[in-house]
Amino acid sequence: MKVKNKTVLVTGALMLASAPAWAQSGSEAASAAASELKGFAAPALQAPVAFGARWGTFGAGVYGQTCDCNTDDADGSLGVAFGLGDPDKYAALEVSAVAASLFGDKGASDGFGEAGSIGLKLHTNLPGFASFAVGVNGTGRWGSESYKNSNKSSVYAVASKMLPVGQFATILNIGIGDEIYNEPNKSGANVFGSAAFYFTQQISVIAEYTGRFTNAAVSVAPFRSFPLTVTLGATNLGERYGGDVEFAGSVGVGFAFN
Amino acid sequence: MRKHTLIKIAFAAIVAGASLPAMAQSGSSGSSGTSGSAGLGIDFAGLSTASGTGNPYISLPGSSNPGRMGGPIEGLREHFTKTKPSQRSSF
Repeated sequence: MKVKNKTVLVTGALMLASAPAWAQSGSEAASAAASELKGFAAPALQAPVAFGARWGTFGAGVYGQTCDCNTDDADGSLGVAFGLGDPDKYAALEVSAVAASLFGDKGASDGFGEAGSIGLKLHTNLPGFASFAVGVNGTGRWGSESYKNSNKSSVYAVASKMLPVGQFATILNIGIGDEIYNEPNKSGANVFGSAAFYFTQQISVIAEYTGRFTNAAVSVAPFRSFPLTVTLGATNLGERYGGDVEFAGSVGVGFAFN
Repeated sequence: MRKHTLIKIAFAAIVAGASLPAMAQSGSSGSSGTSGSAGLGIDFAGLSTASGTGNPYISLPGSSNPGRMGGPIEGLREHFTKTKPSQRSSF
C-alpha cells in the first residue's frame, strides 16, 4: 500500500513539475507558428494603405494593367521600397521608387525605365491593430516633360484597421488625397478607400475606390512561409471617363532582415 | 509618452513640408490624358505594389521586436494563428 501511495505521489509531482514546461512549449509553438506566417494576401489593389516598410524590411513589386493608352494596350510599373524607423515606437518612413511605362513604350513618349518617380510615406501603428500614414506619391519625377506634367505628385493621408469577422477578418482602409486620388482636372482632395475580406491570411477579396475608379480584385499568397503576394482584378468597373473595364494584376515580394 | 507624440508630430511635419513644393508645383489638378497611361493610376501603382498594399509582409515587426502594436497585418497574423489549424489553408 505504501509503495502504491509513493507511486501516486511521484507521478503527481512529475506532472506538476512538467506543467510549466508544457505551457511554455505551447506558447513557444504558437510563437513559432506565428513567425512562420509570411504569406499574406493584399489589402488593396491600387489604393495606398497606412502601413508599409519599416527598418530592416525591403519590398519589390510589379503592377500591370490593360488599357487603351498605347499601341500595346497595356502598361505597367515596377517599384521598390524600404523603410527607416519603427512604426511601433515612433514612426517609420517608407521610401519607394517606381519605374513607369514598363511595357507601354509604343505610342507613349517614354520607354522602359525612362520615366519614374519617388514615393514617401510616414506611417505609425496605433493600438487595436490600426495604423495611420501621410504620404506623397510621384514626387521627384524623371522622364519626359509630358510624363512629368501628366503625373502630378499626389499627397494623401490614410488610416487602416484590421477587424475580426468571426473566424475571418477584414482590413478597412480610408483616406483622402489630391491629384491621382481626385477627379481629373479638379482641384482639392477626394476620398478613397478599400475593404479586403480575408478568408485566411493567404486569400482575400478586395473592393476599392481610388478617388477615380472602382476596382475589385482577388489576392492570394500562394506560400504560407514565403512572402509572395499575387493580386488579380478588374479596374474601372464603372467605365468612367469613357474608359472600359480593364484587367489588372500585381506581384509583390518582401524581405525582412530584422 | 508625450515625447513620443511630439516626435511623431515632428516626423509628420517633415513629410508634409517635403511635399509642399510638389503640391505648389502641381498647379492645375488632375493627371489625365496627355501621356499614355497617365491618370489611370498605373504609373504610381508600382509604388503601392512594393509597399504594404501589394506586399503586406514588409510591415510586420521582426521576431526581435516584442511588445509591439504591429498594425493591421500583425492583427491578421495573430487572428489567424488563434484559429484552428484545420481552418487555415496550408500550402
